[in-house]
Amino acid sequence: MKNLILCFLVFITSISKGQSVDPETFPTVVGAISSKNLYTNTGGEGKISIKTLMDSVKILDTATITYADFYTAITGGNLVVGKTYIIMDFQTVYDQMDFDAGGSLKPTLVTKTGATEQIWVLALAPNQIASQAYSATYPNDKIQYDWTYNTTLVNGSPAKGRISERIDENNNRTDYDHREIKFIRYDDGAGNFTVINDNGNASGEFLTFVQNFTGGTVKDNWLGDFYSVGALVGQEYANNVFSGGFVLSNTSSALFYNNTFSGDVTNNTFSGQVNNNTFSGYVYGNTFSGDVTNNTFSGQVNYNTFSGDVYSNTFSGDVYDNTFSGRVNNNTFTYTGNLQYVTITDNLQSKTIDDVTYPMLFNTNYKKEILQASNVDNYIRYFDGTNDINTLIP
Amino acid sequence: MKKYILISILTTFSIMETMAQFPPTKEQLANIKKIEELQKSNKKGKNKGEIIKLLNANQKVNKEIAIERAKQNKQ
Repeated sequence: MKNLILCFLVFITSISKGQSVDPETFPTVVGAISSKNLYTNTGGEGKISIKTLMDSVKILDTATITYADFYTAITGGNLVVGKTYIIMDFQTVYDQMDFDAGGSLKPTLVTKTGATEQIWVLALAPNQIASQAYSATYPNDKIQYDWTYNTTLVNGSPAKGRISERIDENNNRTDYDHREIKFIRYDDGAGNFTVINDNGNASGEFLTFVQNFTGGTVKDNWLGDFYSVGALVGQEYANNVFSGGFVLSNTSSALFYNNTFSGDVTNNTFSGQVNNNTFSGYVYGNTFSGDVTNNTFSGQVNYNTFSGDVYSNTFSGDVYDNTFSGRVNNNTFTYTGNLQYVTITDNLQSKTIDDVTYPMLFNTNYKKEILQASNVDNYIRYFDGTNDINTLIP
Repeated sequence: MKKYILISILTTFSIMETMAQFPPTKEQLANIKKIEELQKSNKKGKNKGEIIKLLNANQKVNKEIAIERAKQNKQ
């Protein structure tokens, strides 16, 4: 009996020793592992395909997050590099600019909040995201997202970052969220909401491109970066409103602000300071390369090049095919009909030029020049077929 | 990609052009610094009055520069 028990113990010991394997002694698997298997004895389930294992595990490279949590993560350097964060609760929050009668910001501004937009951002470092972001709400837009904007400029209201560039699906570009940010315009007394400063009349609020996405043809407009210099001139956003149905292929420099265009605005380049203007007619094919300030163009303004300083003027009729290359300041052109084919290369200031005194200038289809003589007098010159005719502008 | 490079170049030139056309005055720059300081403690907008004053001050400086340029143009 003793021998039998001894044999049994030897048998058991041999078996248990045979099953005792040190996995650290296994050779390292080289190459692709998806075709391999794992083995286990637990629960009697011996074989697991690694491919099945891989397929059953979802490797998440996105994370939904609130702006507040995202802000905490990025400022704490806790973003996971390579992960895309979906900010679920982004809304454009801004202090809506409103100017008093004198053009100063009113002492109280209203904080406005836009609709929720889902923003996707890619972490490049634990404390950095790519400047390019994506909008699940507007997937055809190209946007840049500034996560640092956590309070509004004036009211200090909680913000959720800001869109620092939006190129919408119609290729209109601004350095702010032009799908949400609205600007105030007051009634001019004739039902036109074109006035920026509070004149006591009713007001409305308008997007930059009023008829974008609503049946208008508003495409390929590129408005320069104003935000970075805005506070230097006293306001946060550029405050331009284009109300027309055809707003095409216009380009502006950065200092292009507080303008209202009520008509069609097409193929213009605004490269200088262009501000506090109201253009109420068609404005086509122009290049304004100088300062263009405090003007009211109420007629069609076509195919012009304003290369000098042009300010405090009122053009009330059709103005087209002209070139203004000098300083053209504080003049009033009063006429019925067209001012066309005129080249002004003059230091023309504070003149009243009408079609009674200077009939050759208006409604005529030949070339006219307004020029400065060597004695500094101003002249209108045209060719009558035989001679140059010079008419003094006193 | 080319489009973004073009936009970046345009933006850079635009800012350079802006600064060339519009060199900010010392007063405007000082006001910007003050605004930045005020923003740090602007919870619930307690500094909004001061911030608006500074923004309007910068706007005033800008207008004065424009008037001065207009005067120079007349000469």
